[in-house]
Amino acid sequence: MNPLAHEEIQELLGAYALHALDTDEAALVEQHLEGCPRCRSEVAAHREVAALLGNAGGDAPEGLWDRIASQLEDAPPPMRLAFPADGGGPVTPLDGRRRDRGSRLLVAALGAAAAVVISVLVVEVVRQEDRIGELEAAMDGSSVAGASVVKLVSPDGSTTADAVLLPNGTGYLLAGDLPPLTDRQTYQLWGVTDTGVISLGLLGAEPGGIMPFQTGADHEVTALAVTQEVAGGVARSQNPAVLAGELG
Amino acid sequence: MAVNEDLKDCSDAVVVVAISRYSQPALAEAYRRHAGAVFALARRLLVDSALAEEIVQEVFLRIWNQPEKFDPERGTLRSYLLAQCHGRSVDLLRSESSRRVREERDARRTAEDGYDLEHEVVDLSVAERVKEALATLPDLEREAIALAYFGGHTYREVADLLDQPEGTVKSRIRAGLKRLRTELVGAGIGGDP
Repeated sequence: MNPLAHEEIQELLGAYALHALDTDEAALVEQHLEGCPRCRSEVAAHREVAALLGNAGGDAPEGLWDRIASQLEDAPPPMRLAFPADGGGPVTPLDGRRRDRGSRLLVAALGAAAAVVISVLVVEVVRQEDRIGELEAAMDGSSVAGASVVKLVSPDGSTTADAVLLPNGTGYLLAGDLPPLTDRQTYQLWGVTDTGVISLGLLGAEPGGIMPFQTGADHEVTALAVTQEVAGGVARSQNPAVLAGELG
Repeated sequence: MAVNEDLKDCSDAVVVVAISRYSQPALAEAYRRHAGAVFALARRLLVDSALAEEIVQEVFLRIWNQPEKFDPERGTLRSYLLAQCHGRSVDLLRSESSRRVREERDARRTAEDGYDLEHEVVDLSVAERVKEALATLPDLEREAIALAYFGGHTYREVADLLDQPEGTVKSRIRAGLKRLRTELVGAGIGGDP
């Protein structure tokens, strides 16, 4: 079917929100929604109303939760935290039982990136010394000694960031080199832990200065990564890492 | 069910973030909050408890496997789960292999009150206000929404059932949902219009 005009799509949004379109029409609407925040907002509003209509009380049957829980034995598919294909192949940090494989892939990808990085290392050494100084200043005079230092590198080696992670789970990130994003986007910081990949916070569309973050006492972070996401961030990223680095 | 006491006071958005970190107690908490509503909607659509249980399983396994699909800025977790439930229930009703399900459902429904929308809404605290909002709709808008949402019909099927032009039904569904939203927001339910 040919794409419909915006006004024609709008007329379908009520029926779409109630799953009352034929498959072909629903596909046309979905295609339109990808690029039209106004129509996405209208569908969300219709679905809120529909939820009120369908929001009946009552309990779920006994035993149903046990059946669901019995299917959660295996961890869900891991979050993709991959470099682009030309950056050394996919990097897929996995949950605890599979983390060794994930770490190996991450190291392999970083190795590929490092070949590019080496040419700018001389300049970077000086820059990093300055950054570490800034980070130390941010840490109320504490030394980075005893802390884990992380250098995050983009797949092509052109962009870097530095972070330190203290034993108490407090971290500081300096990522001023990242190119600014639009208002509808944000950078998001992730930590690779022994139980999977966790969000460590949003960095905004234009990261600047020293940004503190917390990994929490329960998590042993082995690597950090930054992805580009929609404003507001995501619970689990499907996007490749624009920066990544393992703890030194 | 292993519900974590610490999660009981958390927002749905926080619970979903915990789900994304493989927290089964967080999924149990989401289930505790919303499974009853999800089950009730599926059973209402399918008129079959066993099928409704399958839908509930699908919906909660989906939020477990793909928590990133839920965007707290675009609606509540309850509305997201109910939309998932509604979509899957309608798929089941419309699938070729389940035509028999629909025929059996429709046969059972003949003994009920039909598609009287005001009798479909049985939620506790907001039921009266939703009923009042429904009462403000023109008959055609109310009937079209009921047949589409609770009947699982496409708007083309609704047009046939109501003997109205397809374009009219399409417009009335949209206009009715907008009118309901305005009424409900005015009554202090739902978000900004």
